[in-house]
Amino acid sequence: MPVSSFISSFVGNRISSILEDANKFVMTTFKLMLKDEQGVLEPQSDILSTALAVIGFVVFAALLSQAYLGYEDRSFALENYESASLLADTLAAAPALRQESPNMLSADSLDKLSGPEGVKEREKLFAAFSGNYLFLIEIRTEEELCQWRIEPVNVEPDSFAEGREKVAASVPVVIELNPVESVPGTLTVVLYKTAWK
Amino acid sequence: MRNFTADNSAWADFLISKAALILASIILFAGLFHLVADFKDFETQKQLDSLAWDFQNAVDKVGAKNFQEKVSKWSPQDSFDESSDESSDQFKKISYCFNEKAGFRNLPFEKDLKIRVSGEYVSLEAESDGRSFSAVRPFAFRVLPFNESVLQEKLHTGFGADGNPASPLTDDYEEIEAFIRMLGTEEAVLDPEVNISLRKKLIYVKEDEGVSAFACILIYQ
Repeated sequence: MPVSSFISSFVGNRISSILEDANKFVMTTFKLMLKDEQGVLEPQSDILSTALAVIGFVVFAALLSQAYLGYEDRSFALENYESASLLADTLAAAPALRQESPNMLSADSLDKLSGPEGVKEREKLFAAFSGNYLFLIEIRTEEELCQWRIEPVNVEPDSFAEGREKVAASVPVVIELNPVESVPGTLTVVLYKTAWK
Repeated sequence: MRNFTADNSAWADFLISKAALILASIILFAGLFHLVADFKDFETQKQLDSLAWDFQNAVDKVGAKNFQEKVSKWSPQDSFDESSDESSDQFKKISYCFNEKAGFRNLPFEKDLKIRVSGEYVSLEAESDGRSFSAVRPFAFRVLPFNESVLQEKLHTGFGADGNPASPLTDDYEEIEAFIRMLGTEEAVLDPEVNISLRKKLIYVKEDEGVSAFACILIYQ
């Protein structure tokens, strides 16, 4: 007999014997309680029922506070999704992201804005927004062949770190890759939680 | 003492158990009433939050309207019809009145609500039954808590130009932004009974290749 099967049968036997012992103990105690006619608990039955009510109330309060804490954890996303969505809608219509066609984002403009030479343009794009909302813009084509990331200038290096709490909203856009090719894509605004929010 | 120890009627047991029962009931009911009172405060706080959120939403909607539609480069040699620009739909004044909102009328503060607006946030503060409530919401767009003439005056003092198409600012963008941000730190107190005007305003900046502009929202009464 292999060692592993010996160990498993030994452990199995041991567990079943412990369970049997426990079962016997519970049954014996239960029978003794039923036969006991001393009435030890009878005078204090009101205290027992009050204790049960208090325990029930404590459990109810704990559940309630748990639900509130859960809401608090997600409140950043709940409260700021609307703003992220408004920013995404607004930015999808921004002329700074377009060139000739008024209904399409221009890949050339996006290249310029997301590149190192687009600092001045980015400054102008973000000038209309208050510094309260720390956000970046991500634009990607549907099959993710091309993607652009536009960040505001003068932000702390770790402002957009991976672990930070954030909420994102996307809107569909059409991206003009060149004068003869346009592809569908999405514009996403990712709103990050700042220290004071 | 002998009588006391010989007494088998268990009156002490009875009294102690009933006292414990009364005590536990008092604690239980006090807890329940406290919870109900807390719920009332929680509801009031949420109403105040929702009112602040509604105002922020109204301001942000003014900012989002035709975002940067008019922010395009034009040469100083080009004719620029200022009246057509400033009177277009996106620059029309929008009125907001707290008194007209159902959320405001349902609040238990009556006229004690203090509304403050700065370039950064709207803050609503009130006291009810000795408890203070406050709600703060930040704006997504650049906001200034005064009217157009005050803005022009401040820009004139700061840069020697009004920021209009006829007299654009000539300084560095970053410097102008810092100045506007500094102006936004001022706080204005708003009366909830009076209409609040929300208006989008463009500030024009002259650059090497032409004139560009950025928008901000003016909030005033």
